[in-house]
Amino acid sequence: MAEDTNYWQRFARKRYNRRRLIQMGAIGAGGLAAAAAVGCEGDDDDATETATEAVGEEPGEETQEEPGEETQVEGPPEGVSEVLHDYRTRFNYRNLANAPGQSDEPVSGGTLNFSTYAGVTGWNLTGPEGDTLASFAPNHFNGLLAFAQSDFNNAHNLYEDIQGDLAESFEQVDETTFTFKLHQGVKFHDIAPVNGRELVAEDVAYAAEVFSGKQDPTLGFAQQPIFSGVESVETPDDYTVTFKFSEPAAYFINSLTYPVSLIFAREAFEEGPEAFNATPIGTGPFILDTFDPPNVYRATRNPEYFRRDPHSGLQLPFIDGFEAPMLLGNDPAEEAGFRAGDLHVIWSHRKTNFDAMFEAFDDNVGQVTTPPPGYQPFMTLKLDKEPFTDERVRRALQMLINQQALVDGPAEGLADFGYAQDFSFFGREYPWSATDLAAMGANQYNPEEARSLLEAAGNPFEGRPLKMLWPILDGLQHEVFTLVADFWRQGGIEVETDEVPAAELSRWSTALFGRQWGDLDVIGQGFAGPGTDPDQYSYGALNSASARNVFYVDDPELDDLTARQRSIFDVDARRDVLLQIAERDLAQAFRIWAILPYKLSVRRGFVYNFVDTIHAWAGIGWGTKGNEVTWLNQ
Amino acid sequence: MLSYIARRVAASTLVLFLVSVIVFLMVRAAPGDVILSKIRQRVSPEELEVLRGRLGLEDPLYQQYWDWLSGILTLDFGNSLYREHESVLGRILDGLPVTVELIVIALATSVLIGVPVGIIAAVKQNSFVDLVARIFSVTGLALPLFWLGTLAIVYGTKWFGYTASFVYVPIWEDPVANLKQFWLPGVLLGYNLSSITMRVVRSSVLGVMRQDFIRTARAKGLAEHIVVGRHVLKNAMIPVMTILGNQIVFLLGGTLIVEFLFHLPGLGFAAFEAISVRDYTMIQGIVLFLGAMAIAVNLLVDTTYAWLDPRIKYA
Repeated sequence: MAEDTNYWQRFARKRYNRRRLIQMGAIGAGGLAAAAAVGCEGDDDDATETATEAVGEEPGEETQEEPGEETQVEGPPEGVSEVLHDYRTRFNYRNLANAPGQSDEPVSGGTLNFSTYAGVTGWNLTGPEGDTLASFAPNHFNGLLAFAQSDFNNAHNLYEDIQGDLAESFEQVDETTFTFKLHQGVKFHDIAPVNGRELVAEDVAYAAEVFSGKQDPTLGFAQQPIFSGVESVETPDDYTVTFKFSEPAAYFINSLTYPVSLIFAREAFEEGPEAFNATPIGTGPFILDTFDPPNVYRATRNPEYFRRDPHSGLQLPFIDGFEAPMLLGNDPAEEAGFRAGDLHVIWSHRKTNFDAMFEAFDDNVGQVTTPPPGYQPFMTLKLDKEPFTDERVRRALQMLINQQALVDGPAEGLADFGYAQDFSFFGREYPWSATDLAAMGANQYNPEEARSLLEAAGNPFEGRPLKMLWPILDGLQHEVFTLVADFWRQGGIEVETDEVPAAELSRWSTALFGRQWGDLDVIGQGFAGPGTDPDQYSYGALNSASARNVFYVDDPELDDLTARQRSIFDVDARRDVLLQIAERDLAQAFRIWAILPYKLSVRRGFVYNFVDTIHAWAGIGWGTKGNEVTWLNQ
Repeated sequence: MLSYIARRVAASTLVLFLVSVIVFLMVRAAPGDVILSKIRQRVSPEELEVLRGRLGLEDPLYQQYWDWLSGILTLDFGNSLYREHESVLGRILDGLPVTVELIVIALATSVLIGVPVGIIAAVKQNSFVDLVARIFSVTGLALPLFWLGTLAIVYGTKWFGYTASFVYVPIWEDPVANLKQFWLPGVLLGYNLSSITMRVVRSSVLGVMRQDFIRTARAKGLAEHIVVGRHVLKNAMIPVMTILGNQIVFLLGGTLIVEFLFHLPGLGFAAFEAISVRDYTMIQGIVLFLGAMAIAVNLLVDTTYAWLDPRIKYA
């Protein structure tokens, strides 16, 4: 297989470059001090470092570990609180490999019960809900590539774990050409009009054409950024697909693991939007049984599924099916369901809830997972409106926020400072620390300096309130936004807040996505991505031409840098540009950052391979590869 | 009587027409629309126009209204704009049994608690029993349902082993599992309502007990339980009928909180979800349906008066 010699394999083997570390003197000083304290040896090629070394890594330092390695609790690295260090060590994914029964052969059968949400209206992968479908569609469809997911994977650096999904192998021929060899004998679900026929290369080419927006620019909402640069798709035979780009596309392979580029059958699509929306007909591990919002989502095993478990070689999926009541957002019912045994897993927003759920059953397995940069409470400003066109005002707003207080307060210690850039691309297991961010030029908490900046900007909020709106999506985010408003008030700014309850969510969507801000100044946000490649956090979020730039950042320097990183294949060179993007973005305070809360989940002891990773959120099904490797041993 | 009913039906038609116009205009006056509720990235005004055009949202308002109304007249409520393959009437018919079952349990609870407690409180006016009954009643009014429901779920599970499923099971599929799901939300809702029932029964019974014919009954030497049971209650029930009618109308739209907390996919839940995403056809369909139900219940209550009290005549 050509994977052994391709760019991504070389990438995986590459050690993190210290050159940048030296440039970032403060980071290096802080990080090396921490590393020295815990005896970290990041350049050691031996892949059996201890977990303690992993949590004590210096910024940007890559660590590799054998799953199952005993995690020892020692003092926290600099910038990491005792409680965070304790939780992210005790509930580290590495410990999953030591869970009782883990060494047994997976068992087939049983129904997995988890909680989901009613946030999707149908199965049209190409429509405006393409992103949201990433929580649901991988149960029924496959993409070309995926990232590995099981209790045994070093799932925290997905760039080491890209694997074929529909593709048996893949090869980067040159910087503009990518070839995929498809598995043979992959069958679509036996549902009309596709009727269980075999998936062939032509299906991939057709889906890619729709995703690119060339057929209809109003289609491929989620996929256009990935496929719009495709110049041609060739299918020399039924099992080979070659993508040719007009420009080097360094983002392409990683981006294909973003679980929205899922392959559908042409005849299903051509049945018309209503039929395509009503029934998911893919090749995926489960066949839809019931999707009945707001009640329940059920699916049963696809008996013709083509994949086998890479560890045991057994047929996937292991479970007979799943039943998912749509309870997300109803915390009391979710917790009651978990306590009653009706849910096998639960995702908690807070440490207190996590502790309570963890103690509910003796056999529970807890997981505290590094959060994806794409989901965190932060603020977006009306950048084209006075006074937010003034960099001093934006910086002042950031400097008034005591991020440490937010970490210690509402997040109960289980959070880091917020910023949305893909730290996993830098080989990091954990997010940027406060020290890292400071060295990258982030505006730090400094109320006096903030007041000076506002004064220099002519005190723009004197006699003029700052109007802020946020949605009540989860309790932690709500508290963070409330406290941010209070920090601004402490800085002498009159803040008028408006919380948008679920019944008024459309208003918030209108304001943000439709850019009908009215007299609003600030919107509290939860989604800063998502993405599985730094491109989605740089070009996607910050380039003025990107449809994902819902923040309406319009900065020529960022336009240049974000476009440039897309075509850089050299890992170190791309990281350099990404850091320049981060530095510019942070210094200019185009968005106002708060905290990045960790993901807290609890599962029953008989549930295996239901894992959270940085980029896969088992709690909401996002990127979980359709639970195809999950197994139960009740 | 028949002409009275005919007039009421005619008036109801007019009311429903006005309801349809008001709800049609009000949902469109609210900021946002269903397209913006679906997307998660910015779109150009041209793309928005195309997407809206596909759902008919770019048509003139009178055209949209007529398309919808003409469908209603043939019992075609149309499809949801949010879940485009879901029929509005289908969603209403799916949610109706949930809401009706909650209403039945809540009303039964309300009557079973409110009527006897109200009678005892009236008969034992200003006694310790009356005081306890009134505290019970005020407590029911004062405790918000969302709080009571949350406590019931959290501590019911933690301490009392409450294990009702959060996946709705229709009563015709598994009556035992269904009642396990419905009894607690129904009783909580009923307790909330029983406070009002109890207060109305108490004051109504007190009012009747002060009437001359009750004094006469007592003067004749009738036992107190016969006075209360045969004479007081029958005359005190008309206000109770009114309040029960009002409670049914309230519950038609008021089950939302328990439906949400206990995850029961009734009409309240459907309306709540539809409003949050500006699903115009779904909101219009549900509100019109609930409006028709409310009118029908009121009509039924009004006509029941004549049966309960022969003195009432309809001109």
